[in-house]
Amino acid sequence: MTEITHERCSELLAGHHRGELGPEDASAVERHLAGCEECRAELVGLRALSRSAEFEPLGDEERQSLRDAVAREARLAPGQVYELPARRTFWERHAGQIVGAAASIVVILFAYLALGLPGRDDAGGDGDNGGGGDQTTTAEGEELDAAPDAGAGPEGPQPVFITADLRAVAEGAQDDATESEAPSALLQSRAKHTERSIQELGERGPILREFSEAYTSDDAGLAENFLNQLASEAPDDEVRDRVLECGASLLGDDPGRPLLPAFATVAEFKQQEALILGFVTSDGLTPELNRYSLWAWPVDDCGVILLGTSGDIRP
Amino acid sequence: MHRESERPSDEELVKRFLAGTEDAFTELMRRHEDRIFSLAMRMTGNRADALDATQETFIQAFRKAARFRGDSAFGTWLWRIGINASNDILRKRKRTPIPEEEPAGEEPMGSSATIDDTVVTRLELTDALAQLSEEYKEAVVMHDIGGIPYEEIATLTGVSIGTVKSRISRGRKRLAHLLEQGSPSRTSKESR
Repeated sequence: MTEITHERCSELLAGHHRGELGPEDASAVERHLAGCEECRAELVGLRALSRSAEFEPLGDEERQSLRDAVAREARLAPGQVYELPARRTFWERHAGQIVGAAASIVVILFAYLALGLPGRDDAGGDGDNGGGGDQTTTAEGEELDAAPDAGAGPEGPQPVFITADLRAVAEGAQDDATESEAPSALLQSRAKHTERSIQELGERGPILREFSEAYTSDDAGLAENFLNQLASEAPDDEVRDRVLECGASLLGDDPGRPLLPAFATVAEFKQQEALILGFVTSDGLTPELNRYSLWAWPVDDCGVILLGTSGDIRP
Repeated sequence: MHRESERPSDEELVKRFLAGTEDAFTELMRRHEDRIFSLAMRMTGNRADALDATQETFIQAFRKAARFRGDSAFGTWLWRIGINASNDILRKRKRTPIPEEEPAGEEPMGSSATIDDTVVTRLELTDALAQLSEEYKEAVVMHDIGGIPYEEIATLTGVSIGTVKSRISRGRKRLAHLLEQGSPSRTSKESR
């Protein structure tokens, strides 16, 4: 008759509960349980989990509609959707930014040395954050007016608070852009949002995509800084407080899948003024921040969620 | 028995699916849908949410099949996606008050649903599960509900077997403690 340790009892507990142990192990567990309050508590937790198994299994109709829904939602042809690129190295992720920064330095040096320009006066640098211009350029060379002051510098894009002023700038620049070509325009040119338009921002919006390409789960420590940065750009104190309160209520929920704040805006949603926060996050399977997470609250109340939605950021 | 040995493995079906045979995914779904629904049901405590989580799990699996590298069994990999999908739903629900007229998931867990003479509804168990840290919840759900061995959980979550065992042990105890204390749902109903 050997006595067993807490650890051994814990290992055997599930088998014991299912009646799968041999007589020797079973009686060793029984004896240990009789004298160990801690392990009895463990058994209570285990029983609760297994008893929760009592529910109606999937019905035929539910099963069929589940299969139909998956087929419908995931209908894209094999090879187009799930052939995702391998995780890129730091150099691959930042090559464009580094080359861009190097090129800028060469141009500035050239201007300074050869032409004797003073450097800043005529450079058009009117952005508050020193972001440098109203447009960013994707790796494919597409010009996007998504994150005017997102500051896609060598250290990666910075979170941006999209204000009415920026919307106005965007509206002027968006005359001939269709929604599908420039989904960022949805955010910047529409004061009024629908659930679908917000989701489109997550799926195809360049701001979140840039964040997704630049950061990984390893950058989770930036989340609080980014939230503070968004708050500091808020148009007034009330919105600033709400960004901090609503945003902080989400951060740290799931350490395996950190949320990195990417943008905030105030817009009309569900017939009220709403604060919308956009995050990139991970699917928990890889370190990539390949999913969006979008949330909306009334601008005066973080206790009511108007929208919480997440999905894949499409390549 | 001979037929059984000819049945393609899950991993083989994933390969066929990635090679363009969509039927292979349908077969994978047939094999695993009950298990994933059962996981989601136990995690969310609510049939509608469980169906949503199951649907989302298979959509994610369809889209991310190329990322399955075979380090663990396909069922384990899928199970983890299911846990994440259920967590997403719980995360939203945690912040969205359940309408008073809809006592979602408030069905008792069956006639034998007692824990040490305390009646625990599925919603209470869901509340208690939702209060567990993600690490503990993932470990107990994988092992005690999914029957996934320690070694496989360790591989999938990237921690040592000792850590997995410790998380399961602590998670069970914490769960028992939370249930004993009474879940927030019970407290709020009593105070109404």
